[in-house]
Amino acid sequence: MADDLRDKLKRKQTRSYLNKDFDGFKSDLLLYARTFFGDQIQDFSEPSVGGMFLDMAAYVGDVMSYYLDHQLSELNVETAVETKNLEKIIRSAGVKITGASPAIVDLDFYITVPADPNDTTKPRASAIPVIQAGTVVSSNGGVLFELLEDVDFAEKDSEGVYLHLSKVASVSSSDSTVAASYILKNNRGSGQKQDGTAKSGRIIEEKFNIPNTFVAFRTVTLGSDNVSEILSVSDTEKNKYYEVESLSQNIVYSRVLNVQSDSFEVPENIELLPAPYRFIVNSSRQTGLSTIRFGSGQADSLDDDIVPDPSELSLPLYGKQTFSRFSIDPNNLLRTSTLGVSPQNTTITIRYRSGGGLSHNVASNTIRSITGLSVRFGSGAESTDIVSVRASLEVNNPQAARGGENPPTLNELRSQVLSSRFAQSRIVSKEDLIARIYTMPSNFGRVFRVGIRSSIQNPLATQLYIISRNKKGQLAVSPDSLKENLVTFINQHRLIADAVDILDVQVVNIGLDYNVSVGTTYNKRIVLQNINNKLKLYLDIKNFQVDQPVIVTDLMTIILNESGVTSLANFAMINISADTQGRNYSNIIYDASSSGPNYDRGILYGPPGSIFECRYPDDDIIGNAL
Amino acid sequence: MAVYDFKSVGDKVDSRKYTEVLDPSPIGIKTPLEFGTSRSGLLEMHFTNAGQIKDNFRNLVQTNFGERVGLYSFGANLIELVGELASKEDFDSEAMLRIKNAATRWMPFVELETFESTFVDPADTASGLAHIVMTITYSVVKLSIIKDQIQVTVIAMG
Repeated sequence: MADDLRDKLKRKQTRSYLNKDFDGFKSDLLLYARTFFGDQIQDFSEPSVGGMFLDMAAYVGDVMSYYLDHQLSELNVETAVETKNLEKIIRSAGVKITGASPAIVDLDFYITVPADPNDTTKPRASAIPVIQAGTVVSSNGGVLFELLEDVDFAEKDSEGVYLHLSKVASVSSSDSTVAASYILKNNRGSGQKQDGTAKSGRIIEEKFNIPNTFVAFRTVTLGSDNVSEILSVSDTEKNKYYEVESLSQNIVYSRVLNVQSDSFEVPENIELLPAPYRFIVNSSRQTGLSTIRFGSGQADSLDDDIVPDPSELSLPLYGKQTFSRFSIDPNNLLRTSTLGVSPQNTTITIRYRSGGGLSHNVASNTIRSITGLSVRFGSGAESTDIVSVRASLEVNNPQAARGGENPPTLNELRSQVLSSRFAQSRIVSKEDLIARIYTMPSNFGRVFRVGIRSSIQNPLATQLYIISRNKKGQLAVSPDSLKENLVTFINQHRLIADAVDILDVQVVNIGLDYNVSVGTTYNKRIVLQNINNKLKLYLDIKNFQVDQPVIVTDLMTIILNESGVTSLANFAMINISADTQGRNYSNIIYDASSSGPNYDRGILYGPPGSIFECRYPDDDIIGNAL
Repeated sequence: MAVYDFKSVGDKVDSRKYTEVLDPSPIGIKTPLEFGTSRSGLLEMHFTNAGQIKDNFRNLVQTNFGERVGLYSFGANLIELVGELASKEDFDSEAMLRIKNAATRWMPFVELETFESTFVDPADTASGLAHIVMTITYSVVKLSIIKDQIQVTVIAMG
């Protein structure tokens, strides 16, 4: 114990950049004075005036040394202690300082809709509402949650089937054979993106009068603390201001509804919007308040050039052969729109979400009241239906709200700095490209697997293979809208000389055919069932990547390891490419036999940019017991 | 013819042997500070050990705790006595103790001899405040300073 303590004390070194303290300075000064001023003064003892002067000089040096150490320490995120400096370091490292985070919760909405008088097997279409985003619900403890996106009970899939109909419960009338009304619940079914997501916090709208004086990088500070999201910023002239990461970012992504045939798989498209009116948000950890900083350009001289024309800045030489040196005021160049526009002589309206914290993580089944309902019906809705449906609306949260967090501590922010330094917004490596694709919001389509290969034709090009999944979880060719969104999404991060060819992954559908000998004391059917279940797990598509080979010997081992199996009499991998018995397969024809060119020492390799899929494992894995 | 013994020759009093050589090197700064004259530089200096020690000792007795930069406990810290102690006897005993402690710590070569204090009535002072005048006798045997004296005045509070 004592040894440990001694070791600890030994290891703990005092940080000192000058390696000087009061005593060090004093002894050095004494040596200096005796060397160079020995003939003018000799007494430097403590009670003497000379000693006092030495002490004062040493004291000043000690204090300056302390502050020098302090200043150097304040440059390093690990050793800085002053909150203001830490905030600057953290912000410069790209970490966004936030206040308390709001909680997220999935809400279940229930409505009672009368049956269609013409077809009582369905609810009346005109009476099915859309609960609009912005609807506010409240927990028992008074925490408010706002619905983030519309909940459309009339939503249908690509085949025209009501998405929420699967959860419909019929309420019988006096005639028990006829349904009088239906209870609908928002639920798209498992495996699909659920709606009904709500976020905690209050929505606040503030107005700021901006005087008619130009101020570059004008800032306004919002009145409420813990601002988690700026919802909108607009001015009197209806200009919309967009939030950007830095003011040099002049383009933002915009969500646009996809109206093409693949809108079910890809509900929205990405569009790029030029954002001359833009702002950044900084939050102070000390005050908890958020400050919005606008650009430096003047709106009345706003040009559409994202990059100013350098020729406009050149000096004209009218009839001169010589010219003298000239001075430039850089502020004149600063007034361009390259860093966004600074508002002037207008009123800025800012809507934002405020509030959060651990207390917002409310327990399940506690959000039961609707405090602000925003609902929309179709044009043919009858007023009695509207009243009854509105009155029938109920809400619940089957699961607890999550994600609410108190403001991050300084140590938590410190720990984020290191990881943030390695983050970048450019696609340089293969991993960058894959990460960028997987992080594209799912509203723009979801890529299931990505494979990257170098292009043979163009050394600067990369071949990007992508594949999606259908409703049943099977591999499906990615829709065109998804590819277009992907192009828009990654183009902003692509290096100028790089090229990316987006290609579809070739799906190689495979099956298994095997014969095993089973011991006489075992039930053959159960042995086969166990083997098939294990093979299904192994061949699950979640375990496969693009260009990943199949280790055939692993499959054989699974079979042989099953208790009851005495020998593997026959084993063959088969390629299935023809649609049979209503089962649709990929049309890739491929030699999967062990004697073929794709098989090498127990490993089956696919063609370039391909993925193996056992599409219908119940049918494609065929086992026989001898 | 008389014969003289050289033992009776002796020396002349102005011979070099008896001439005191003054050390031209200044020892320390004289307080209160004043501009230097003749041999001193910018500030007036002490040229004898006795003068320097007397000056240092006086400064030590006059200094209170916390007044010296970098050395908090330097001084005899007498100022608080003038407001705390009611009787002169109490003041004398405590002041002597503090002076002894300070001298032992900061100027151990000084041997304290006697202490004497005089109370000056406020009516007799220009400031209208009572003064306590302390006279301390000391010796520094190694430097042949015998029974030198310093006089320190502290102004009584209230």
